[in-house]
Amino acid sequence: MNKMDSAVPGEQNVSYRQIGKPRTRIDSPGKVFGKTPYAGDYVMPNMLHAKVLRSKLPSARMTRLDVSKARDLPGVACVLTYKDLKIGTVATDIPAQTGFRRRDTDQQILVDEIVRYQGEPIALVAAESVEIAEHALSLIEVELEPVPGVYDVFEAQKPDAPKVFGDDNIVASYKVRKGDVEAGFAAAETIVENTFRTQYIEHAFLEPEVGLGWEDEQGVINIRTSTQAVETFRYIADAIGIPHSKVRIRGALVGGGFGGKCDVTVELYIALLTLKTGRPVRLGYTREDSFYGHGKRHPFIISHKTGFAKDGRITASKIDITSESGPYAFMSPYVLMYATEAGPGPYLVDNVHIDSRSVATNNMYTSAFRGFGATQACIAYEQQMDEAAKVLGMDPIELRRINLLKTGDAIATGFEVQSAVWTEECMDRAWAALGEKPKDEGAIRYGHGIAAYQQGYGRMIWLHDTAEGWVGVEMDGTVVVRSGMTDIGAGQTSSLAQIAGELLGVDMMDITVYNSDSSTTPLAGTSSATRGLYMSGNAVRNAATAVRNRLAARAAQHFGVADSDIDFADSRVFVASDREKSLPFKELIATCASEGIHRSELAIFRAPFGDWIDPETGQGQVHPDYTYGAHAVQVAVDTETGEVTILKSVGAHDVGQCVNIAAVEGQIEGGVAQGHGYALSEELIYKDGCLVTPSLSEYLCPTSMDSPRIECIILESRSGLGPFGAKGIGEPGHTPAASAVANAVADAIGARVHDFPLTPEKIARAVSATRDNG
Amino acid sequence: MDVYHRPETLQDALALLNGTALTVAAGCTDLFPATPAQELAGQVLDITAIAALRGIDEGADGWRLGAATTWSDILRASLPPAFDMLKQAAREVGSVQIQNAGTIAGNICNASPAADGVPPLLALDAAVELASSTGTRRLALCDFLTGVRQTALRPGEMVTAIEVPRASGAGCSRFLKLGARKYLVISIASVAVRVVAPAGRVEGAALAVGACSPVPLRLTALEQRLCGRAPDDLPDAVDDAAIAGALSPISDIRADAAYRAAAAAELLRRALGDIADGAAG
Ligand SMILES: Cc1cc2nc3c(=O)[nH]c(=O)nc-3n(C[C@H](O)[C@H](O)[C@H](O)COP(=O)(O)OP(=O)(O)OC[C@H]3O[C@@H](n4cnc5c(N)ncnc54)[C@H](O)[C@@H]3O)c2cc1C
Repeated sequence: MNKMDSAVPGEQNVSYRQIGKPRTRIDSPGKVFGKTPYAGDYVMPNMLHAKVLRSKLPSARMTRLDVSKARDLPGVACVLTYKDLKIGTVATDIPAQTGFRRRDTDQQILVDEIVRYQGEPIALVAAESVEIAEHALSLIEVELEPVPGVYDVFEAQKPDAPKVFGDDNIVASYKVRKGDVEAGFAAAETIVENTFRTQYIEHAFLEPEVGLGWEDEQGVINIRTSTQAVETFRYIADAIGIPHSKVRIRGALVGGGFGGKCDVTVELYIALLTLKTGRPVRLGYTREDSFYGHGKRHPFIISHKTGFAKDGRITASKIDITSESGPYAFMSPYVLMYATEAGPGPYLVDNVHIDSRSVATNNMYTSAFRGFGATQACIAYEQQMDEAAKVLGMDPIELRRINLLKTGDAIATGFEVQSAVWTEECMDRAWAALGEKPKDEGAIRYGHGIAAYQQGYGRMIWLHDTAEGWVGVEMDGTVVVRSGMTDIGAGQTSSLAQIAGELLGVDMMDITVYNSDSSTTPLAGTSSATRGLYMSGNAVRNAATAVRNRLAARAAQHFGVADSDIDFADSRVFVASDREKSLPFKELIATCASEGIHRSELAIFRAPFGDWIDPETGQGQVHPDYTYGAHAVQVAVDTETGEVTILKSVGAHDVGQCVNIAAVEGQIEGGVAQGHGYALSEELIYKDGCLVTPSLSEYLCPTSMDSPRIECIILESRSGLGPFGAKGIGEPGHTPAASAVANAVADAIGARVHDFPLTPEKIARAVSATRDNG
Repeated sequence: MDVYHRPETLQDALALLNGTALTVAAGCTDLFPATPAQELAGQVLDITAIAALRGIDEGADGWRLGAATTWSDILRASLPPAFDMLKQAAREVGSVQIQNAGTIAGNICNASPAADGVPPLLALDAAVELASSTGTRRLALCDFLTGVRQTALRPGEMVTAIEVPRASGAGCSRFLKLGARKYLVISIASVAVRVVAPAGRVEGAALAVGACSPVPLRLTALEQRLCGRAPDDLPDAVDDAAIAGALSPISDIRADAAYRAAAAAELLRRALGDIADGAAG
C-alpha cells in the first residue's frame, strides 16, 4: 500500500493490494448458498402476526370506527386505533446525525379523523396467525365520508383548492438567482423552451417491508427489520413515548431499498404492537401492502427556457420546477433542493434563474428514490439539450462539449467544485462505445442518445453529517469491523472489509463486519444519498489507519526502522525497504496485546459542515462534492407499434477510485436497468387519488428480456472525498440512464415525447403526428 | 377454504360438482391473482390429479386437448403447422413458471379479453366439451365465451376438453402479441392467423384478434377477402378502418382504443407477411 490520497487527479501511480480489485464480496457466499437470513426469515416462539387496515379512499373524514368485533375474535391479541396511541404522530424527516428534526411536518400514525391519501393506515391488528389477523381486519367497521380532495399540482396551488398541507399546499419552495437571465436572453441568438413531465415511480424492491419486534430483559423494544436506516430508532422511541435508549433497531441484509426503506413504515407498527402485547410481533407486507404502504418517487414538471449564442454557448437558463409531494412532507423539501441545485445540469451557465416548489395533493405521498430529485432534473435538462441541438442544427455531443463544466468551474449555486470534472471524457467514451448506428429497415428506426449529469454525493452540508466506525484486531490476526451502516445489497459491508483489509494487510475474507445495529454498532447514518462508502468508508479508514499507525510504531521499534518504512500485507508485517525483515501479523499482535497497546479504534468522519445556501439567491454550497459521467443508449424503435428495443446501454462514470470494481459495475447495471424501466414502462397511475396500477401485472418493471447487456466504463480520477479518492456511484449510475433512453428514442423517430414513460402508444402517436405534419 | 377436493377420476369430480358450489382450480395462475386474501374462499375442486384431463390425443376427427393440459405440454406436443400459433401463444403466456402450471381450460374459463390462448383456438375453430354428472355437451368456443369474464358454463359443469376438427389442422399459422414490455406482459392486442394456400392461392383463412373486444373475435369479412389471393398479397388486404370497425377496443391503463385497433391491424399485416415468407420459403 502506497500513498492513500492523491491531491491531483491521476497524478500518483498508486497501487493497491485489495482496493479496486474485482473481489468476491464477503456477503456473496451466504447469498449464493441460500444461508443468508433476511429480515423476513426471523421468527420467535410465541410470536404474533400483524396486519394493517388502510383507507380505501384518498380524501375522507372518518365518521365511525368500531373495532369491537375484531377485538372479540378468538386469536386476536390486540387491535390498535388512534385512540390507543399515547402520541399520535411520527417524524417524516431524514433521521440525520445531529438529532435535530423538522417539528412541523410530522404525520399522524393512524387516522384520527381526516384521511389524506389512499392507503393511509387506520388500525393495526396482532393475532395468532396471519389468517386470523386478516379476518380481524374484515371485522373492523369503518365509515368514511368522502371529502373533496385535490389531485393535481396546479389545481392545488389555486386559492380555493382544498388544503392538504399548511395554508397553501406548498411544502417547500426554493430560488436560484445567478447573474442576469434577462441580459442572457437578450444576448441569445436562439431561445429554446420545453416542458417535461415525469411520473410516480415504485421502488419495487424484491423484498417487501418486513420486521420482527420483541421486548428484551431490559425492557428494550428490539426490531429486526429490512431497512436502509437504523437511526429511525429515535423517531420510533419518540412516537411510542419511551426513551431513545429503549428502542433498538437491527437490520439484516436488505433485498433492495432504492430509497424506499429510509422512512419509518413497519418498524413503528411493530414497536407499538410489541409494546402493547409484550409479545414478539412480526409484520410482513404483501406486495399490495408495499404498493400502498411507502412513499413513491416524486412526479416532476420541469420547464426549461434556455438561451444559446450563435456558437452554441448557453447564455441563460430559466427553469421552473414543480414536484408533487402528496399529503405529507417526508423527503419532499430535500428532493426539491436536489432538483433545484441540479437544474441546469453539468453545464457552465453564468445566468441562472430557477423557481421551484413542492406541492401537496391527495395522491400518494412521495419520498426518497435513487437520485433524490437530481434524476428528474436530468430527465429535463438532458432532453432540453437534445431539443436545443436540434433547433440549433448542432451535433448534440458538440453542443454539450461547448457547455460542459470543467474542473474548477462554478455550478449553478456558485460553488466551485474541487474534485475532477471528467464529464467530457465520460461522454466521449460512452458515445464511442455505441459504434455505428445501424441503417433503418422498414418500420424499424435506430437511434442513439446521450445524457450527461451531475449528482451530489453525501448529505447536504447543513445537515452536518458524520459517521462512526470501529476497527479491532483479534489475537489471531483476524479483524473485526463495526459500523452502523446498513447493507442494502450494494456490498456496503464488503467494501468496509476491503478498506480495513487494505490498511492492515489482512485479506477481506479474514474480516468480519458487524453492522446495522442501532445499539451495538457505532452509528453511521443511513445507506442513502450516495453516502455509504463516502461516510462509513472514511470512518473505517480513519479507524483502521489509527490502529495501523500504532501497530506500525511497535513494528518499527522491533525492526529498528522508521515507522514509515513499515508495511502490512498477506497477514504479515514487514520492512518495505527490506522485505526479508518480516513477522507474521499475529506475532506483532501478541506483542502489542501483552504490552497493552490498543488494538482497536472508534473513529468518526465528519463531512464538510456549512450553512444553508442563501434563501434569496440560492448561492452557496449544497453538497460536499459531485459525481460526473454520462450514459449512452442505442435503441431500435418499431414506428408502427411504438415498441422500443434497447440494443446497447453504456454507462461511463468517474467514480474517483473503485473500491470493488465488481460492486461498482453492479451499482451501474442495476441503476441502468431501473432507468430503462423509468423511461419506458414503469408508472404508478393515480386516478383521483386511487391507485389503478396496484400490482406488478400493471406496474411493469423491465424483465431480463427488456434489458441488453449493460456496459460499464469506469474512470478513476482519485479526486473524490471518499476513501482513497472515491466518489459515490450508488445513485449516479442511475441518474442519466432514463434521459439517454429518451434521447435515443427521439433520435430514432425524429420527434419528442415530453411525458414519461415513453410507452409504445405514446411513441406510435408521436410518429403518426410527424407523418401528419410532414 | 372450507374443503379441498383433489379427485383422481373425472367421475368423482363430476359427482362432487353435482349440487355443491365449488371453485374449480387447475393451475391457479388466474385464481390466485384474482383472490386478494391469502386463501380461496369456499370449497375447492382441484382437477390436476385427474390424469384423463391432461394431454393431447389425435383421432380421425381431429385433436382433443384435455382441459388440464398445460401450456408447457402444448409446447412439447407434436402438432401440425396449423397449431404453430397455439404454440407461439403458449410461449407467451406469462413466463415458463406460469406455462408449467397454467392450463388451456383455465385460460378460456377465466374469459379475459386478453387471454392469449383464445385467438389461436378461435382460428382453429375449437369447440369446448362441457361435462356434468348428467351428461356432456359441446359448444363452439365463440359461443362458450359470452362476455368479459363470462362463459356459458352452467352450475355443476366443468370443461373437460377442447377439440379441434381435422379440417382446421390445415395450413400455416402465426400468433403475434403486443405488450408494454417484451415478456411477461398482458396483451394490448394479439392476433392469430391461419392460412391455407396449398397451390400459391389462399383457399381458406382464419383470423382472430384478442384484447380488442369483450371476447376475442374472428374477422370473417377479412377472411373472405383473403381467399383467392397470393400469399404475398395478404398484408395489403388488411384495411385499418375495416379492422377498427369490426373491433370494439376499450381504453384502459394499458392502452387507448385507437392505438389498440391500429396495433391489431399492424400485427395482422405482420402475421400475414410472416406466413407469406414462410410459404415462400
Ligand atoms: C404472472 C402471470 C402472467 C400471466 N400472463 C398471461 C399471459 O401473458 N397471457 C394469458 O393469456 N394469460 C396470462 N396469465 C393468466 C393465466 O396464467 C392463464 O390464463 C392460464 O392459462 C390459466 O390457467 P390455470 O390453469 O392457472 O387457471 P386457474 O387459475 O386454475 O383457473 C382460472 C379460472 O378457470 C376456472 N377453471 C379452470 N379450469 C376449469 C375447468 N376445467 N372447467 C371449468 N372451469 C375451470 C377456474 O375456476 C377459474 O375461474 C398470467 C398469469 C400470471 C399469474
